[in-house]
Amino acid sequence: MKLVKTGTAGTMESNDIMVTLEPKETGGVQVALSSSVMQQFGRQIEAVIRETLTELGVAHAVVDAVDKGALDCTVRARVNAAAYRAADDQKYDWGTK
Amino acid sequence: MMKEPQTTGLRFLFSGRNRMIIHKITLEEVLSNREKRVYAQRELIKKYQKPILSCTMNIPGEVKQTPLIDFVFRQKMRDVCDAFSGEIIFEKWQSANTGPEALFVMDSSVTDIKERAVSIESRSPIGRLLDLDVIDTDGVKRSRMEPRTCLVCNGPVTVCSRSRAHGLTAVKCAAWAILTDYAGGQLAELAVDALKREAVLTPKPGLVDGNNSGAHRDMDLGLLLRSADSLKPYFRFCADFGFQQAPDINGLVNAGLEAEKTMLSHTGGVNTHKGAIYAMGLFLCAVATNFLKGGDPFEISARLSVRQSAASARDSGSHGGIVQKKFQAGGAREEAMNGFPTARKGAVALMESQGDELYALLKILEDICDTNLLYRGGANALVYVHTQVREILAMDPVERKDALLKMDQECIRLNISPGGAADMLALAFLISCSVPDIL
Repeated sequence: MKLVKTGTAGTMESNDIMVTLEPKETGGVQVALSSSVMQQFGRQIEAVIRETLTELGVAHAVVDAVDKGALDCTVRARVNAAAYRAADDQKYDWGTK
Repeated sequence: MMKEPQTTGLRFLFSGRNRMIIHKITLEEVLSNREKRVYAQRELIKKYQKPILSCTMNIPGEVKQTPLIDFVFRQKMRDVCDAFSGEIIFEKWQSANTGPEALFVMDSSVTDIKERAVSIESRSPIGRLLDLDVIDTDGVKRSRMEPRTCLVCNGPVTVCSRSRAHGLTAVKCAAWAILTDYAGGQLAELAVDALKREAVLTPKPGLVDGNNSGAHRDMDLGLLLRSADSLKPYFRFCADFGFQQAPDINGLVNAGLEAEKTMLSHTGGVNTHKGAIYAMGLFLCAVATNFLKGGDPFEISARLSVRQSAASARDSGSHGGIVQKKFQAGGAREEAMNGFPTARKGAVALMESQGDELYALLKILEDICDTNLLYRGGANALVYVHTQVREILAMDPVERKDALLKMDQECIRLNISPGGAADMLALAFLISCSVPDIL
């Protein structure tokens, strides 16, 4: 998947995560994460973000993630949506941009 | 031998409308709804340049919308609207599979709103299931200072929820217990309020009201209000009864008898609310069952009344019982077995007239077979009331009050009082507050 612009998904509500993806040409995936459960689950959340991007074939990106206690499935879904939006794909377009 | 009323709740048994469609939501629905909500908040902030109070329910599991959840949300939103009355500039409501929601544009400072929102969230167990988010004009959500606690262990919720520490079932059960406890209490309060609202409505022909005691020498308004208060624990019992999975009908029958004793001890032996104990008790059970399993509360009442009737001893000494023998009139029991059509008609009239209580009373009176009227004045009394009321209904609404005042004097002279209609009016009030969306 090729990212062409900044893509955002998620909210700052409880049990959610706000993910912003920026395209990059090189340098791998850089993740900046803040979380209300950083100490307990910071590593786990970052691993899920990286895994999801690998599955999508995104090798280079800057990720900004603000977590409010999202479950793994939510993290995965938000990273997915943010990536599709960054790739200018309509799949996760609810008409709310 | 007394004849059993011809109509029974049986005709409702196979109607097929008594299934609740429970929607299990997907993660995608929850997530897209959240984004849409935040988008709607931003749009409102852009338009009004004011902070937003965003209200949702916090229900664990894949079912976010049931009649119970909608009722609880509606009741809590009354508290919110009371707490912020005069400060709400715009409101937007939604009830979807993802659960009920309300957005309020507020004319107050963010700190002030958040403080009061947290106080509503914190002051009772049900507040724990309510999310009152405050969003500032820059779009940033104001977080509460103290983290919310876990429903099961009372530790910080974020940790338990992320790790699914207690399993979903335990969390769902805890939420369920809070919801039903709150709803039961609210239903009991609504029932007491309905009785009081009926009592104070003035003028009512022949009945106790704010002007006089009608054709009653043994009671007045104060007595009726005290009697209504004394029934609150009974009403609570009835709601809780309806929340049970397979309740024993004898429990309800006995509770009704106990409530009559309680009433008599509070009124010095005067029968103020016997009919209401019967009708509202049944209906409260039915509403709670509807909250629990779905279905039409009127149909549930009908079926419940058939079971209740089979389990109770014949009360042939009641006015209704005596009149039933003499006039073949079904009265309260027939009304219940038919799913309270007269009370329902009153609730519909109330809704259609935007809350005109006298109009609702008149619509109930126009064709009710009121056994209290029959008991005191025979068929003539019933015909008199029906004729008068139809004339009054044909009048311009502004003239009705004067006509009712005159009719009240005539009822007092004839010593007749439509007590059955009063019970049905109180029930109509309860219907319109507890299940308004079902009408």
